[in-house]
Amino acid sequence: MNTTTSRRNFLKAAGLTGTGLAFSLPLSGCASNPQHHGNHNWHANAWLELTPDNRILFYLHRTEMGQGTMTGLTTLIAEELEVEPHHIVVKTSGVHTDYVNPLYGIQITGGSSSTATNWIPLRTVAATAREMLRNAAAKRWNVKPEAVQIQDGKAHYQKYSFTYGELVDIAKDLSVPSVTLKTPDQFKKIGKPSIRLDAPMKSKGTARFGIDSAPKGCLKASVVRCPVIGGTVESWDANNAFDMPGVKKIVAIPNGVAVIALSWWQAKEAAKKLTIKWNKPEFSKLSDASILEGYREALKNNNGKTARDDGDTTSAFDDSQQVIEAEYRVPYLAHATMEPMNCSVVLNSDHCEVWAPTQGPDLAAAAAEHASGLRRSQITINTTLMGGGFGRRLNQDFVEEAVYIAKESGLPIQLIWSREDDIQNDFYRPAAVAQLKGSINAQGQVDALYYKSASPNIMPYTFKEASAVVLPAWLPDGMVKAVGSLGPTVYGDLLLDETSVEGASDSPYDVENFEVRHVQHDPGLRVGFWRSVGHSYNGFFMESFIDELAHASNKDAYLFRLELLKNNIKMTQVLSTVADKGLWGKPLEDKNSGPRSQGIAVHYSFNSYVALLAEVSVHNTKVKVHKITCAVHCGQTINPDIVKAQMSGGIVFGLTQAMKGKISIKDGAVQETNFHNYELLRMNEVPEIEVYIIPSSDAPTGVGEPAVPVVAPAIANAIFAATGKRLRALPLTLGS
Amino acid sequence: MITLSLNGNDLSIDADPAMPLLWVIRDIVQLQGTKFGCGQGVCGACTVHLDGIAIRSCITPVSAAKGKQITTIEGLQGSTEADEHPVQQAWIKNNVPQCGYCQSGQIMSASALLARNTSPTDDDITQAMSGNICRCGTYPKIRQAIHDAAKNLSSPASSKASMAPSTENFQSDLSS
Ligand code: FES
Ligand code: FES
Repeated sequence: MNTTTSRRNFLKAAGLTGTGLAFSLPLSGCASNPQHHGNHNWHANAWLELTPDNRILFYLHRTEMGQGTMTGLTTLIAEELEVEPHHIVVKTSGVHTDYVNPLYGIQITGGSSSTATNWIPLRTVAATAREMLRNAAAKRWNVKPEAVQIQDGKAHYQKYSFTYGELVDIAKDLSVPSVTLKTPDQFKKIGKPSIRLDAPMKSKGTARFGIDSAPKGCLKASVVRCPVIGGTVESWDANNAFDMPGVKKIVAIPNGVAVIALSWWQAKEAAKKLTIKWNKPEFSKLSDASILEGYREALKNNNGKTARDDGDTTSAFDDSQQVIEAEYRVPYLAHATMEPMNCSVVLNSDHCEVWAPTQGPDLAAAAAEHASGLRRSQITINTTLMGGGFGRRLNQDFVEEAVYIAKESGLPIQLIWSREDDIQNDFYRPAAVAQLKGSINAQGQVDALYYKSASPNIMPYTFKEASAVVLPAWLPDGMVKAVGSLGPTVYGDLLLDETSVEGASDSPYDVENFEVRHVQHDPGLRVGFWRSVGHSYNGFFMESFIDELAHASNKDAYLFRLELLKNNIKMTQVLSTVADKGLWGKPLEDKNSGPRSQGIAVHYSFNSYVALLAEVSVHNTKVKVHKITCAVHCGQTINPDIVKAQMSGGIVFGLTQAMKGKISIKDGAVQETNFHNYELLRMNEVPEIEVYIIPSSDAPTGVGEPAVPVVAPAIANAIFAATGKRLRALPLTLGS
Repeated sequence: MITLSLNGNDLSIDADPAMPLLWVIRDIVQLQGTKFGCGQGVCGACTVHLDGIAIRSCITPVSAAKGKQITTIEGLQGSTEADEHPVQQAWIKNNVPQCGYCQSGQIMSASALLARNTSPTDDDITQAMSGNICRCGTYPKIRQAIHDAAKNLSSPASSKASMAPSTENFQSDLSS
């Protein structure tokens, strides 16, 4: 496909004396008047810059948290600019409206969207630069542009060549041409495995994460918070904490008391001496059992909102031959990024500079503005590498805390959370309870599906933070807060939150009568985006229940799905791939583990199609997962090795959710504290993992999240095959 | 004053003897390649070598390191930029890291394993590496890279050239 971009009008190129050629392009696509950049701040929104000393700078406007976006997006530039990716210098971008994620309206990295949303724009920028260099070279040699070859980072004509740097001065006076992007058959780098650009720095210990980014002179801070999130300080006593070595200051902030010391360990040790009286929130009245009770009540007493209503489900059930019903549930989960939350702040009367491992730099700026009382223009956010994100760093509570501490103490500080702080103060993956009902007709076909779930919507929490970014900066803080507080009303009572039902409302199964409903029920524990969000549990609900229906109608679980998906070519492709490669119906048997059983699942999310086959063995109540075979249809891959790594990593993440993940609540307090009781999968528990990518030259779709939802149901289905026992709650445990 | 030998350098440190070695390394010596993950000895992010043995520096008081050779990720490679340890080379070649936060610890555990066992079996690897958590789930690549490094250690002739990554001079403001 020849893509002459329709966005060329939005491309702004600026030539500046003494510096290079800089390009920018508003990702939102809504700026209609190209404007010249002013000399002083031209790079505030640059994407790509070519310098006379022959350097190519790419301003990475998405954050690297392991998903490989640094390598992927740089490869897009390299492809069209005809250079090697590692010859491009990658710099982190600042905060600017031109970098806004077009899917969300804010500058966030999430939703498995970085490659998909940059696929055309970044290549357009690079192709434009390439054509301007070609035109500049043509001018120097006084030949037609078509006679100039752009290759290996140089412009060539016969035996002559210019480096890009030598052409910058001429290029910047030329007009911006319209460009044609390469077609897949012309790709030299896209789709080929290559080295991750960040592999060397991350293998030598030189990669700088948030925790390594405090400027010189920063003191270290540790905060003691209320055991129940949302509690505030009523009164506190430092006792002898001030006398502890290294301690510089102790200050109260809205949600706790911060100890500031020379070293973080000293701050942490001194913090143990504090006694604090808390104002505990309502949530402190709840524990696991009463929370579950609340969900069931909510499902019983509320109709909820309609997320899907195909056909006439009610009459289908009235006429049904066989009705299958089940209740499914999942617990709250923490993200447990390997790098705990942290943030450094240097604050003075008219400027606030922040170093933060954040997935939303503009959200961080809004949080800093709010906590410091300064204006948006007085805030600088430095985004760092992240030791994992998984959605946790879309919330900026740790930035807000750090700015409060800097403000109250008057000191430059780095706030570091302990692992306990991190697990007990998350924005959790919502707990959810679902009722599912299916009808099988006389021919053994599913003719109706009904899904109704209760869970807290995430949107009210996000809305509170995001409203400060999307509302105009001149609005007074009080007004922003007022609008932010509308979140619960708007998304609780008025609107359906799509993230609560995703994976069910857009299920690819072809069922004539299909109803999906959602009841917003929030016990009060704050919730957030967790790798694959609503899909993480709706995948488990839907795919386990579909398996129940297959068994109820005495059909092979694979063929049953194939039949219901026959109009969905891509899903059929991934499903038959895993059945084929994973030897569906022929599970291995080995001497040590005895017979194995198989389970299969499919899921569509982030525009990608995924199927997964799990092979397990069960001894008494012990489940061992031996092998996972997974297939994904995600369009054109930029770097297939990174795609496989993302899928494989998502599978491990999904395995942790399936076999281990659970946050428990007692009197409103999260009970898990560290990796000994909030366990993550370790090497001894990792099965053999095979990932197949369906070759495609369609536009790329998401790969960071789509593997997660299929894992738990495939394993639960395999356990059913092994034991006849249907596990309808996560984590999957037999015999309790 | 406590005297330490860190990456071949002798240092005098003014620290509480009970202070964990991790925070001495990070906050006082200011070498930041060694990471903090749990503070309880259960994740392996803080792994360093003490006389060649992999230990969790977050639960090791600095006093316990007196008179011993401490090696951190920064001290693992040779004296030049390109002189990576075979384990580091294998990590780069296999694109092991995702977020990378656990990887200093993983590499320190893996290199300690290979120092005492140059051809580890899958079981040996599982044993040696199960104290190191990777939330990104890079375990299959870690295993592969350890096998690769073992191969290169046993036939060094084939190593360097074939391992040299094509990212040699890559620059970014995210690396120090
Ligand atoms: S930080 Fe030392 S083992 Fe986790
Ligand atoms: S690479 Fe992210 S935790 Fe291991």
